[in-house]
Amino acid sequence: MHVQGSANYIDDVAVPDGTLHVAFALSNVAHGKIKSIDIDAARNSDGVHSVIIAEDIENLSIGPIRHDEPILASKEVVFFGQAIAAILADSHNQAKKAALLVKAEIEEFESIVTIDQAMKSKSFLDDPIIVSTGDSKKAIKKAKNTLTGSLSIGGQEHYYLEGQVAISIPTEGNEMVVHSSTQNPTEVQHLVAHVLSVPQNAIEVITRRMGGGFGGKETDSSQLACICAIFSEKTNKPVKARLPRKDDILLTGKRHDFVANYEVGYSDEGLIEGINLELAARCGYSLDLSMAIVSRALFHADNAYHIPNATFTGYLCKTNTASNTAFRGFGGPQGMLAIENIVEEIANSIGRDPLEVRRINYYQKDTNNVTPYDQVIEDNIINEITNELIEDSNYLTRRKKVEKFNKENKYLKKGLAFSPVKFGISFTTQFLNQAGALVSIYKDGSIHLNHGGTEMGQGLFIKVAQVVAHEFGVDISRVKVSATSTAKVPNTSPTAASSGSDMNGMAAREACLRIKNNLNNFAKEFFDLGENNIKFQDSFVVINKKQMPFNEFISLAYLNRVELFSNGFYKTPKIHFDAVKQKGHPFFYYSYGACVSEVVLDCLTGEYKILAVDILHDVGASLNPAIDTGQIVGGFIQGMGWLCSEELKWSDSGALLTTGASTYKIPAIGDTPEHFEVKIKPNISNHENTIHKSKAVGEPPLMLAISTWLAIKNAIYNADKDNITGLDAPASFEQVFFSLNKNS
Amino acid sequence: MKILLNQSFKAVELGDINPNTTVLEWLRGNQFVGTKEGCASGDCGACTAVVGELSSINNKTEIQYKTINTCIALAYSLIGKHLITVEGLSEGNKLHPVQKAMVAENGSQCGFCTPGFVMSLFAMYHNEKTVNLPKINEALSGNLCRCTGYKPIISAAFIAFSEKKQESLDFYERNQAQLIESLTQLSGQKNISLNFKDGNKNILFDAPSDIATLSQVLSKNPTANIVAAGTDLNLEITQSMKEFSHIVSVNRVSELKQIDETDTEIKIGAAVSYEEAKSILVKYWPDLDSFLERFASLPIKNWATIGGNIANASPIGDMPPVLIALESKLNLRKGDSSRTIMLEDFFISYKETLLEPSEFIESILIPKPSNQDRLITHKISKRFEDDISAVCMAMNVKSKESIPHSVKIGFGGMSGIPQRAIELEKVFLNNWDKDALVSAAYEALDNEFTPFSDVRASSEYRLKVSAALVKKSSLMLKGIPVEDLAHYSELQSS
Repeated sequence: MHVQGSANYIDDVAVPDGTLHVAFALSNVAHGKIKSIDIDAARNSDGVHSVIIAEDIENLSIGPIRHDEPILASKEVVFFGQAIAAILADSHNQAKKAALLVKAEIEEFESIVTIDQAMKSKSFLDDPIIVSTGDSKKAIKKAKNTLTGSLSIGGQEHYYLEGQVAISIPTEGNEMVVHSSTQNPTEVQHLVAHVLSVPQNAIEVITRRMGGGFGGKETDSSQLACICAIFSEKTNKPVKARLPRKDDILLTGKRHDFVANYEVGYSDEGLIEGINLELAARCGYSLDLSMAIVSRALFHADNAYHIPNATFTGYLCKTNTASNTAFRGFGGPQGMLAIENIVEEIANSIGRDPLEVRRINYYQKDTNNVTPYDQVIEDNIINEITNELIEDSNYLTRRKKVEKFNKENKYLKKGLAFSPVKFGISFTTQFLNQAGALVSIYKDGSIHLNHGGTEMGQGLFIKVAQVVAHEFGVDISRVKVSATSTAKVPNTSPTAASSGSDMNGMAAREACLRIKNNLNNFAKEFFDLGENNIKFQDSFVVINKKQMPFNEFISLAYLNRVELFSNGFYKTPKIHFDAVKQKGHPFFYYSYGACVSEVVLDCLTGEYKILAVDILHDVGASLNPAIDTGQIVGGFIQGMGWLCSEELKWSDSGALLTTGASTYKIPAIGDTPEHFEVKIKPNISNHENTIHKSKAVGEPPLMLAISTWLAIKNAIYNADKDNITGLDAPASFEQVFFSLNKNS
Repeated sequence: MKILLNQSFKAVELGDINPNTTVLEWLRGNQFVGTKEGCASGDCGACTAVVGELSSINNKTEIQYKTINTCIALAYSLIGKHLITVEGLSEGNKLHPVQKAMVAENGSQCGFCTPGFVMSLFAMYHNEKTVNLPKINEALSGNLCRCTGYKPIISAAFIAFSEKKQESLDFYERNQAQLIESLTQLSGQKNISLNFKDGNKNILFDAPSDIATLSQVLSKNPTANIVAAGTDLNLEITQSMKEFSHIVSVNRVSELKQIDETDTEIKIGAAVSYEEAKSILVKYWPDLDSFLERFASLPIKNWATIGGNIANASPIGDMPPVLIALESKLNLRKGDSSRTIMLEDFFISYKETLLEPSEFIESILIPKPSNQDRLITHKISKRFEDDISAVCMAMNVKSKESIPHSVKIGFGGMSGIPQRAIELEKVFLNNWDKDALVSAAYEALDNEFTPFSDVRASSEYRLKVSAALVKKSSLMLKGIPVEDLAHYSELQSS
């Protein structure tokens, strides 16, 4: 369907006659008091039905945790690009044109844009979060070597190819159907019900597919759905809103940028004795998911390393920027980059191969296996993965070749780097670790599957359908997965935290098992099987060594009044966490991976090219190797974009300047490394009881790209061995140029 | 106003539409929703379709298929052409080989960019006999994918070609004769002049077919907007929500589409596209091949014109610095009168040029090089492909016995206009083989330019990297190997 253009996204579905369209008027000031908003010109513009401002909305504020995000700015604007008015018109273009005619008089206040400004003025959304173990201060003091530094880590725009879009269709009474491009239909449902003051059962939210999500549609879809619903309620008409790319980039949050300040003590061999790490995150104007994101950053600031004495402190900086939000990795990548940067610098400072320093600091199986948050790592395979990849990628030989190349070339320098990934799987917010599914078998033996997960290109629908097909021993073509709907499975969690197939797969399996139990009980009685059970295989049901086609068996069961549908439910076991002490067992298990990258750098200009990438990644026993490989490759390239070419820029007064693909550069096809080997670690399975012993794969591969950034850092170091610190992320050519010339 | 659409031999009426309507809006408004809007600015390729045009090569008429960004092309620019969208590839249930390859290689995840990739692959499938990685990268340079990481799409491109010989001809190959006939019938219309009434507004559209009519139309309507491909101008429609009240398209003006050469110079019509001009430019300046590759994405280069790149006077257009370094001239025309000026004098200040109302660029005149000349070009941008320059530098060096005696240097991105660096030229001639070159070049650049700090680069980087590029150029002149990393590859050696 995708290749024929016949897969429908929300913008492709024919809307009912009389559908009206919404556009937002946006603030052109980052912080200020709204003195007046002149909407007359907009109201008189062609095709305009209505223009509303904050005062026109009764339940104005929404948000996933705190309701601290007004749908339209009220009294005050708090970031550049905030919506200040909403226009309803006959067409999308008419609404957009009218939006430009809204004139707001805003008394501008000083704005807090950067992390440094927020830290200086103590502008925080909440108290700092501290994860600690041992006595880091003492350990650093005692250590033979110490190193301090600061690393600035840039944010990232999601740049899903399909922008945010929603349609609300009033049906009967207070009921409404909302189509939303969201990873979180339940939250959209609950927030729409909240703004309309109707019970949640009046709202059905449907999501067939998204053109990419990456976390950007976990919470940021609600505002658009809510404004549509508000207008639908006012007009009793279907209302559609689709954000133009620029508005989408301005209005919605991004990956949090961080500043990492660190102090580390280590031995002559590079063994880490203690770390003090402060991670300050730019959260934007509201809380959104920042608490959990900063937590996850702290939970990954150890990555694969045993740090006996650690103090990781996370700050939630409140700034006059859009509210930063979930993005593949959810804080994990930033925490991990901070520690990988530290380990690389330790190695450079003592002149050892960074690989060796990584190895001596690794968590081990039975010793040195407790994280700073007290979780015992039971499934550690990072040592094996490292050994295998080092061999497969010829790391040691290539390190010598790189050295030779660098001796022979004056203006070009190569860099080579290895980095590991250990990523914790589960929502760190415990109650989110639940999922539901609904499986129905029709009289002709065709199977219908619904679950709480949403499809955004990650292949979730296929994976869960595979699970169902497997249970009934039928071909996957017999299983249809329809749009995610809050009317089919209620109170679902967002499709996030890489948990989609883990949780929905288990819930669907549970539903299948219940139906199979019904069928087995029926067959035992009907065929008088005694203790023997029936089996489902190859599209047949095996009954006492006789085979009956699956569809015939199902229709027989129907005639004998067997319940052919069931829900299924799953909650992730074993997890617990004490948020006050920041100790516990937040993750069900860990996913592992490692990557070797090689780059070549032009020392004259700061330009570089990524030449070779070798990946070995752990997905347990893969549910679908093709889909998993796709996630690894795609995740890696997205991570590479984050650390290399994707640079968000704001003006001093807080205006976001990179608002389109012409200024914000996600990787293009030519950025694909010409040597790009991706291997799933073979012959392993998850030691925890997950769906078919598989592991989650959505987020962890993104962090494999840290090795490309380290390879650039290594190339700079190879050009000048005194240049140990000083590369920030993203490593834009300009940044690399100045890093190279730091000592000259 | 008709076009051919997909697999129908019967022309389709575009209808009485506002001339500001884009191809994408027209398609999606007519239920062809397979073509997606990702950015509405020609940067992401989700809207890519293919346009077929009659072309005559060695007296043989054929249809040339080129990718286009439908989001920034006007529907009326397609009059008389063949538009193929993603809906037009498969025949019944039988997928086109490029579609089959994309499925087989898992080249699609969320699927939103997929129709655009499929169309770029389809155009390449038609235009190329064989394929290699650089060709694939060029063909897909205008398509962004956020999910797959491109690797499976590259595999799909290879696979589609490896199976090309076994595949039966696709619909468009099998039916070429009939399609040529249909297109020939459509191309009968000469001058196009339309008036769209929107309430009490009149919106005019003219697409003359000869230069005399064009100058008449412009003389009568000095405020009309001249549009060639519109790859820059049409952003005002899609991004700034502007509506042009009178659009004059120069796409059909035959004189502006010509390339001529004399013993001493090359004359390129203002409406010649980059892809059309590529072969003659590369013939005389082989180094431009790799430069043009980085110029823009293929769907842009297919349509964007050299005249448009000059007339819009963008300080970051990549061709003006090159043409300035080559001492090019412009033929300008207004009514019946013409004048010839040096390109470097054409730009006055930001987005302001010597063009008077009703005046237009007729052609660009480039002196042919002697065999002692060397054109060196550099482009610094945030991404190698499909990106706008932070700095673009072109240096044309004339040497005698390998000693430079004359140099012309053009810069983009360093000032409000594309500009010649006169002081730097002197410094270069005096210092090109000395260690002091970088610092002397920096000083000259700092005197001569006050570049902006913006999203693409800081002022300081622009100055410093320009000085580094001067040094890099000198190394190239000395024959010391330096690399252009954009085209660096170790595939052969490993």
